[in-house]
Amino acid sequence: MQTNLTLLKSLFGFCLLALPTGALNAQDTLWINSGAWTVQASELPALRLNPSAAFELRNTVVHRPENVGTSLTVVNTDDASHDFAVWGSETLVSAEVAAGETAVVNLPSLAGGTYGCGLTDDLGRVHGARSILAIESAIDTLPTFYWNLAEWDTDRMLSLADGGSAADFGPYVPQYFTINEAMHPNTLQDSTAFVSLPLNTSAIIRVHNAGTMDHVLHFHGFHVDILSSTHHPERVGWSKDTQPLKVGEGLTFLLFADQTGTYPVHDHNLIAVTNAGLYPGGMLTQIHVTE
Amino acid sequence: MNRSLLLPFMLASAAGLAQAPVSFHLFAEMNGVHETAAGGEIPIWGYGWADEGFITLPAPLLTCMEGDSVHVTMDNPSPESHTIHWHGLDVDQANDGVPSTSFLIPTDSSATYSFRADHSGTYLYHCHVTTTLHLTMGMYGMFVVDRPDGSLFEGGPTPDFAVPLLFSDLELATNFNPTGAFPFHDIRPNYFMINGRNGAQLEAPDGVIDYTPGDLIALRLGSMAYSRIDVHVPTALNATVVMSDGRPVPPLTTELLQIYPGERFTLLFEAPATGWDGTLACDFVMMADDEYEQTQTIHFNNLVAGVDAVAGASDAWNAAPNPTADQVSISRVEGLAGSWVVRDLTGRLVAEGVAPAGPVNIDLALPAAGQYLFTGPGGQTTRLMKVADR
Repeated sequence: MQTNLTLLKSLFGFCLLALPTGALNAQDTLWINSGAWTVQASELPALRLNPSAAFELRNTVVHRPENVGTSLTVVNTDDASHDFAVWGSETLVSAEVAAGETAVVNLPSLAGGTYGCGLTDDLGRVHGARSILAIESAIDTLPTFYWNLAEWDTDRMLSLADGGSAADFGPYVPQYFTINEAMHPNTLQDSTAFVSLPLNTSAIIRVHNAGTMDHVLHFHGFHVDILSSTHHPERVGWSKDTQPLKVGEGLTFLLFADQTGTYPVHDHNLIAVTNAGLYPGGMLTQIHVTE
Repeated sequence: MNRSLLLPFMLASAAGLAQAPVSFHLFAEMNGVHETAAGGEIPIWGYGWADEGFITLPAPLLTCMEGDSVHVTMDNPSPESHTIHWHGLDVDQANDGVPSTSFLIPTDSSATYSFRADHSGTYLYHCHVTTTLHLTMGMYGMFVVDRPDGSLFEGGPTPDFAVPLLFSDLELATNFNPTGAFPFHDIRPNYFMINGRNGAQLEAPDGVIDYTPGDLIALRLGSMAYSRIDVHVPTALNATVVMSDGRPVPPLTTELLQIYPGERFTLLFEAPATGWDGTLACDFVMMADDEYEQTQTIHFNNLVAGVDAVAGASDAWNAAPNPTADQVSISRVEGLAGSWVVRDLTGRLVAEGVAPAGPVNIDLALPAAGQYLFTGPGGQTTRLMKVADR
């Protein structure tokens, strides 16, 4: 049986050798910014990784070429110290960034795939400064989509903002579930979360679980091939319609759009397709394939 | 009401079935009752066979052959709209069962889904209307696509028999008060099932999986639970995952198989003669906080040991022709007197009778194409298959 993955390798085998790494976009500096996330009339404290000192609700994706060690400058504009790290199945590199200070993080040479980066201290983690590190290779000449998954327990967010401790946390009850820090239906307005493709074309979907609970994505209409996974490396090459992402997992899917139509993709832990308990919402986007 | 899917079935040869249209007629209702091991009753919503008029948890097992054109008609006499999503079958948008992109089946109406089952494997189906609630209430079932030659997939292994095992759970407060379930972001299951069975129900004679040492057994594992399922696979089984989500995968030996909501795996192993106590422990784990909830256990029965335990129950049944396109004759030369039954793979009673001691011949007309299980007076089982008369 010839899988989509086999087809991809046959198409890109030559390019893997020929791609100039300079063609890839590299984010040199990340800013840790604090701000507010207004959701359903409530204002929640937020921390984000942004490409400038201006607070943006969405975490930025960090891009690096495969098999090259590089550096990343991290600027902490927040008034609290934070722990920054890069991870695959485990922490690859970490650094403490004091309030108002800058740190330079040396990223190791990594194989092509999807990894995670961001804050690992309780405040930074719960307030959401965690994003995708895309280690790019020739496949990234295909249309690429980015899904940074997370869930949000507002009680914990507010407790930490008020000086509370993780030791005081009760049961974990997230009220909001997001892709790229947005909930459905807003996910459909995000051109990197909403997958739009012509028929019989392929795309890459890079997914990272930035939350603190596991998620499991179900694709309607399609099976997708797993190109890389930090936490399920034994599944590389598998074709799946439902695939979990453990906490911190980075995973790269190959989608071949072999039928037209509009098909949902969502967390099949169905509490996660709600907004404060209202269905439908949350971790839900769509694949739209046109003639 | 309490019907077992825990009936092992053989992926028997049925050459020539591919491409045949297969039709199912279901209905949806919101007034069902599910019996607990303790004799209690849990209100459920669900699907059932239209000609039977009652719903089950899980819904009827649907089976077809790879390449079949499948038509499923669903009647909806219930007070709310419902759909069926064909989970993993990659059907087109029109038949996908998502209200916003496909179609609703409103109260007192009927509609038919049509698709082709292109890939053998294990799939699921469920309602996709206010999915968080409708799944919690019990609107789901398993869909198995077999291959005519009995193999799991093209070029793959051919088990002696395969067992569909569907994990699911309920938040009882929701079942008893669905309108009070909102908001839906904090569902905490507290009733855990395998094929709708819980606790001692999994140890009942018709819930236990019979095997003979040396049998190559395929477990078709799927989950419609809110929990993660951790299946603890004994080392003695040397079991391998050979399929997931309806696709073959390189054989993967595992002693802990984690099944997330919506996932499916085919676990293959040769039943050992010794070194295994005949159980598979399956832990249900809360997704939000990774907290252990409960263990449910799949029970197996070594028939060799069983024959020893039932002295004299050595009667051997023969079925011919098998597969059959019409009638099948089930016979034996000697054996005990007692009752016999034939059930389909959902546990539905198809025929029953009483056999005298000694030689017996039973001529039986099977009602529709599919697989059946004959159980004789001593508990011996014989798999039957009726193929479509082409």
